[in-house]
Amino acid sequence: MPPLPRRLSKNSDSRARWISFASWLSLSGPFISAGQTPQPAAVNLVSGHVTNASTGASMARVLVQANGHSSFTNADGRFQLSDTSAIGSVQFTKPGFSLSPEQRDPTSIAVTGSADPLEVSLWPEAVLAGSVTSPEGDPLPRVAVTAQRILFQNGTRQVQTAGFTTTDSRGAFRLPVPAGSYVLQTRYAAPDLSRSLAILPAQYPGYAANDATGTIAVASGQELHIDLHPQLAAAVHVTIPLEAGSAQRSPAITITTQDGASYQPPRRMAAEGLVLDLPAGVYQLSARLAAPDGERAGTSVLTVPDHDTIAPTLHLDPLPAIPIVVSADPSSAPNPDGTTALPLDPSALNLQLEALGTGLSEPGGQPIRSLRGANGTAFIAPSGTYRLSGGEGGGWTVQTATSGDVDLLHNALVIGSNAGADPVHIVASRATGTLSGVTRIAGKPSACWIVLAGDAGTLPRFFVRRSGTDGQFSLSALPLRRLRLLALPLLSLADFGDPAVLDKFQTYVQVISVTASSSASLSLDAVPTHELYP
Amino acid sequence: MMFSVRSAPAVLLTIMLSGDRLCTSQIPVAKPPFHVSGVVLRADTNVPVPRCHLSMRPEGQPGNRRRGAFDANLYTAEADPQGRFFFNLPSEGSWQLSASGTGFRTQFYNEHESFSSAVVLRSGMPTPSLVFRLEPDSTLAGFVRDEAGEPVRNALLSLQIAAPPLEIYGNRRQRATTDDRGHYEIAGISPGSYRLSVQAAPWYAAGAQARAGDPVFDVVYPTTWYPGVFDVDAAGAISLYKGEAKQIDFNLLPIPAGHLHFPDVSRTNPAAPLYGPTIEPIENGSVNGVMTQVSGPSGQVEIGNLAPGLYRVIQPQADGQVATSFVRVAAGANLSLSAASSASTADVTVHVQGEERSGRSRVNLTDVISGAVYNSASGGAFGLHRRPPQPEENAAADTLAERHLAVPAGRYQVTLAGDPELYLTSLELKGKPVAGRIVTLPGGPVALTLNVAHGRAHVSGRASLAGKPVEGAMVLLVPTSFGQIGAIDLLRRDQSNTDGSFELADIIPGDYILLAIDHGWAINWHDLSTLSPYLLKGTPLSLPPQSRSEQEIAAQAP
Repeated sequence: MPPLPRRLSKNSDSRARWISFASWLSLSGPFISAGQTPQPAAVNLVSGHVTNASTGASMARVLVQANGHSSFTNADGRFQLSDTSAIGSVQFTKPGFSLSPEQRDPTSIAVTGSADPLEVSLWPEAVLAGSVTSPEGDPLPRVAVTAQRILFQNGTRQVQTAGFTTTDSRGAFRLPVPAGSYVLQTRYAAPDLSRSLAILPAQYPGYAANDATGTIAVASGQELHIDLHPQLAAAVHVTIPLEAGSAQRSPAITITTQDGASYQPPRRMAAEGLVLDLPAGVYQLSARLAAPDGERAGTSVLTVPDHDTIAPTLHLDPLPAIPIVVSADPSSAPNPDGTTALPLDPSALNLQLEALGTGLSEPGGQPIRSLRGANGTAFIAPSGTYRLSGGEGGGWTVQTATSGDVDLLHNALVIGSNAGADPVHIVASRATGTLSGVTRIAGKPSACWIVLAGDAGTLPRFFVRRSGTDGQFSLSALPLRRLRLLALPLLSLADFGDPAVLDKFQTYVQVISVTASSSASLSLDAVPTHELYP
Repeated sequence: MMFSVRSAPAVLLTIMLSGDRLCTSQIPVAKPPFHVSGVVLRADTNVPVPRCHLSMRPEGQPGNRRRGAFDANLYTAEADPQGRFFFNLPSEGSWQLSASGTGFRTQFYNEHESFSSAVVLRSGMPTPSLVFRLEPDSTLAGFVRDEAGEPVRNALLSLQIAAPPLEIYGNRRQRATTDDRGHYEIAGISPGSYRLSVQAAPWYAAGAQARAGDPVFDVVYPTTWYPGVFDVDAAGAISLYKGEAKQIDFNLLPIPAGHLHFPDVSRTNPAAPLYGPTIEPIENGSVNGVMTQVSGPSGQVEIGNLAPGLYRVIQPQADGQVATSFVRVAAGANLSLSAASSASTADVTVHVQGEERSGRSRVNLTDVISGAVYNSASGGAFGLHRRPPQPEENAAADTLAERHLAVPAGRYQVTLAGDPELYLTSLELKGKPVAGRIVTLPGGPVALTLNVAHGRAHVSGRASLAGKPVEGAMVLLVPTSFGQIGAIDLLRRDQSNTDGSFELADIIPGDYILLAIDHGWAINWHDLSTLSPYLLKGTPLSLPPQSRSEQEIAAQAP
């Protein structure tokens, strides 16, 4: 076969950067009314000074780019770039640094039209370092270590793999990551020629502490040392016969140990069924399979002796669909054409289920989105305990959410293995108000991120908007409820739905009850950077 | 015994020695009749290696290399605190024994280069009691910094054996990348002499140079060899002793980047997607941060950010085929390549005369300077060049015996692979006979004919010393033409097993001298004058095609 020619891309590097920038913008949602920001004057020369945000020291040899021109900062951290065309933004690059402590993007800042020199702070990344040793203290080389980041975007908890490495000959590892909250995990390692025992997965903080707060917080420029001590155990082969008809496909298997560890063991398909590599023990086994007739799942208790064994046949049943039924709040305005607001597409509300208390099992503990099918929109989720999140979109917000008698805004949704299709009833409202004002950093009108958090038992738990480069904002389509507003100079991915997080910045929080006729103009002083990242 | 499998996971039967007490955790095996015991010693100090891991597998049964997969033939044991181990095995035969531990990479019993001794079990033979000398790992570590003394992240370190290119068999290269501090570690190295290189891209160059053309940013780091040289021939050898840890740092210096310009990238159908040329580094080169720019609908393409080195260039043709050529890029070069330019490329048509249509054979061309291997296998690592069918070629002429390769013009060793029965008897270049198996291929079209024959020979036997089987001896089958210019036969080696047995398969028929040297692994067997005293005491063998020979030989002292 001749090698396949690669399709040309004009500039793959800049394309990647564009995608990153686009995803950054997507965090902000639909918020700024165009035309409210005065057109900045054309700038043909930019100069400035770059400092290390963690130490305050000037930074030499930072790459500064604008309009295709490049320059390094000098020994004093100063730079100057000029072009015959107007300069709209300036990009700053330095390995291990970024413009935001919590994100590697964005890499550029907008030029506002002022001739004043730019004062730019670059944030050093954080480092999660440590070692992986056996319980006896022997170093474990070649063990995969991942840093799972727990973050919150528009009120929803997300888990992202922020770093991956393998231990060196001394069992040591290093993971440079953005500042944030993390869980460190090691993967299952099967026995091989160099080790007779399997290395079982380990996690820090431990599995028992695995909830939103059971994380490692690491700050910009900080290096944390964490030691992991996975258990070692002899592994045997467990053959799990599959039901006729499902043997052609290999289901995804997750096992949970009695102390809460959850992982996917090595597996292979054989004529007799699915063969897993597992140490002796008692496990909760969960299987999922994407079958032509829909998703199937099954759970069982698996008892593994100290020798190869054949387990009972695994039964996979279709996952029950939990319909989402949406009705409009009576106070919602009719459509502009006078028709009733219904039917409202439930998927527009961005409803999601966040699993509670099941650990960060693969594929990463991501929230389950609602799916739109021929019979309407539904959640299709395995048995577990979930929190409803999201709840905003298309100018609508969730007012109430119930499943049977359970108020899902204050209580968890429990899905059993044989759950009936008890629908989730949503009442949504399109009654909205607006808020406008200006955000200031150190008294000067400046672009800020604006966090808007509702009271407990409201959805979305919080959401984030952004003011313009002159600090002006006009936020529309806001739910008619009490909101707490907080301006931030940099985007933080903390859980602002947690009152304790907002309370840390109480001085800067403003509480507003949004009404349909709100006309207040707000002045929001942003949390000083040194308070946001002490 | 020559081995090839270096890793195989999974455990069926685990025998663990806890203190002096044997405890077992295993699938019941009915009265294993064969036992193997021994002790593992550190090779440099003869101190026992406690609690190391050992495994045994029947020789000739490849392990399942898939991670986490089941290997029913693997038997494992842990050594006790005194380094002693014991195996119960179910059957006689040749068993491959390996051991590993903290600070000891996986090694096979009596391992030398790519050879080891199999543990041979036979009914009536005494139970072997083995001394397994485990070499402690050597380690290389260090920092890679840039011209400003700042750490270089994601630099690729590559360690290879310092040996003539034609004597490096298989991929014996170890690699590592630097972390955020510019630090790397290459662990698990066996003692020997090595060359170390580093490849990296200046962090500020990718994306900064294309439009600006600024000499400060339009730069690359050349492949840099220890001790900081850009030419592999000037690379220093790094000698690593058993258990030695060395620190080697690099400071990279930028040089002007090379650029390739393609003036006439075309497409047959204006609506079809535009496919551009692709390039691949062959030696020294690096394609970190390659920029591809297109101007005009069928216009010009530029590939920049190229470090000095040899590159393979694949250019799509208007007829849907691709053309392969090779280009050497110098520092700061601006080279223009039209689709037809191939002055430095040998477009080789290989005829294999005498091959039956098995289609299994592969022709390897090994660059005698760089060691780069080009082969005719579909999807091979380098050099495949599929020529569009010519109108005059009918189906009958399109035999499996004709292959097309594009290689850089240069000197190559020709070898056959894939069909163990087939062997090379002579070569013709452009219709003229060539002595030996080294050819010089000029740029442009060239016809290379391999005359081949069927029926390789086979030699096995037993080596003994003072009437007793000798294990670990180096067994050599030396062609009588060894050392002569134009020789086509190849010297073959093996290592004797615990019962003195050895086996040499797939031998090119001819005249040889067979010999075994006890503790002979330090001898420079490449050198005819060193070998001569041993050859005088060797056993002459004339091996006709398809012959099988069984020999009892006396091992010589080193």
